[in-house]
Amino acid sequence: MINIDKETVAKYLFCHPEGGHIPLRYAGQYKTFFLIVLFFLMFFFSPAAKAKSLRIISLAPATTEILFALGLDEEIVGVSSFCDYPEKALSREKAGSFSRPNMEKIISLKPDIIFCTGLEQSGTVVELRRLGLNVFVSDPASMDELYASIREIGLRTGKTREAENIIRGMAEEIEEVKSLQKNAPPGKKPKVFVEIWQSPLMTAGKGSYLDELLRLAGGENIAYDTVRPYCYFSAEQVIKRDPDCIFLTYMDNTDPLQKVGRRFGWEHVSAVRNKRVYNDIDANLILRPGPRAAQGVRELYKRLYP
Amino acid sequence: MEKRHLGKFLLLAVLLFIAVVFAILNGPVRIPFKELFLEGNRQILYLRLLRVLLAAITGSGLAVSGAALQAILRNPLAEPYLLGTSSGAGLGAVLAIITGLSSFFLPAVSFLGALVSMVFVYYLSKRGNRIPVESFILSGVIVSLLCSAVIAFLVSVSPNEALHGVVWWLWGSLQMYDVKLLLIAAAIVIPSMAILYVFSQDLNAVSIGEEDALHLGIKIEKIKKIIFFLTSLITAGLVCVSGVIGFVGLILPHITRLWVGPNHRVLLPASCLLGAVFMIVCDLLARTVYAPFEVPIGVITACVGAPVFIVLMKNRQRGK
Repeated sequence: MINIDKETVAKYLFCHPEGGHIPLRYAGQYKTFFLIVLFFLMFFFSPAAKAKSLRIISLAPATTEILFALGLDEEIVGVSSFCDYPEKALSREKAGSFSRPNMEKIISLKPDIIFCTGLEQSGTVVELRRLGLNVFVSDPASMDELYASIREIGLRTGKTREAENIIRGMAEEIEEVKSLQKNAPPGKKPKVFVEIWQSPLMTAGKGSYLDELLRLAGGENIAYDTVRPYCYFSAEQVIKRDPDCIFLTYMDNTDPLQKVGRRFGWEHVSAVRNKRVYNDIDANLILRPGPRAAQGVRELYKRLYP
Repeated sequence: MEKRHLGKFLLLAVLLFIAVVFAILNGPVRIPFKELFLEGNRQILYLRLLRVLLAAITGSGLAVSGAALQAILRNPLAEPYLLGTSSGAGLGAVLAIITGLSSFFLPAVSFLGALVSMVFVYYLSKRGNRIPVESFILSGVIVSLLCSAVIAFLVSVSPNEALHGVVWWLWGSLQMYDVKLLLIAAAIVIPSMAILYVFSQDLNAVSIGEEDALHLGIKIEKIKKIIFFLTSLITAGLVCVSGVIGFVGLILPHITRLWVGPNHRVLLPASCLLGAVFMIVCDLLARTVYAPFEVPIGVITACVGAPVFIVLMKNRQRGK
């Protein structure tokens, strides 16, 4: 195909042997004609330009949220089956599940860039790269890393300004929550236990992303000395450290207070006595390192300082 | 005698051809026949070819080594994973991930693990110069239990979350996108199968009974060792590429035996072909039934294989 840009078209038309000799008085008429021709040409070539826009696949729910927040609705062509937010993500082509993406599907979507997460997708990343696909791994484990990751994703998708806006918005909201804590009555910070899973009892401990959110929300994690970010935690330790507040981050239909209070020895835990066992925060707000993190901090704050 | 089975082999070859064609034409992404061979779909075609080849090698390797093991152990429950190779491979893979070796070396290390457990089982089961069948099976079971325990321990204490991927890998999957790996596996599996075929007459003798085989002048202990090493080698080569895919190595030899009879000179090549066909079809189902999600291949092999086996068995009982 011959590449024609607007200027060459204009030059060609105006330098045409006939066009060049057009008397000045007719020039006005011809100009309108040329402009109409130009307009049509531009209109004709614009879909071609649009079709060349970025094609993005995101296999990580948190990154999907970031991409939609950056306004890349048109560019996102495929997501994993775990990507459920925002609602628009549900209408995108499914490229397999979170831990087992479907290579054939991914290739058929002809992506320019694929966003993955680190841990469970490390094998997938190797396989995708082996197939010569462009993979970007984003796996933030702290707020700073999350900001850096949003910035980097913005850079890769040509949405740097939008990325800065999101980061600023999040930072502002977190600052606001922090300043609200100053108004709270002085005294010790509420001690918190986060229950990621019930059997075996698992929590988010030292160095985890959720631990940082708790700190920002003004809580003190009782699992401050765990050997790894997400790990088992003994019920004895929970009873001994006596949390003021318990958050359950998994779906359960039973009443959280009853559920936890029924456990042997837990009835004397402060959180149970004061009826401060919560499971009503959307787990994705606090578990997914994405643009809704600041919202998650606010939700945590609301329950820590009722 | 061979002529009697010529028709069956022809049928198997045709089935294999049909299975390969179907498996290449179908997949989670629907592409019309003509477009599949266009430049733009080259990579998808390539992926499907790789998978079909891997399925064929895995199915035939498992079926043949299952048949051979059932003969030397004279145990209908014998299967390629019985003698501990798969757990050894799993342990190797877990160690590779914990020590942070790149995923490039993972198959190599798991192959090494399989070989180590194979040698371990061999020395554990040896009584002087003999290897009683029972001690073979028991040492295999013990080594695999031990390896699984160590795997479970390492997964539970390791801070490395990537290990959870190992669990998936151990369950078996034919998702593999590395030609070199496939070629290496083929280079291990195909010659081993060929050597197994050379010993098919000896397998016939051993499967009758060790005493009778001895009277026939067969060096039975030597045969047992050779078959053990060959089948373990096949299993090790397959496990480190596609994980543990159950049912095929156990049931396919039985299905084939019901169909072509117990003569290993016919049984081994027949189970080789049938194994390949069966695996290709199962893999095709695994990746298309719930596309774009994949059903674990072991689920499909059991769901397809069990009814076929039951029907065959009932038919034979009625025939008697």
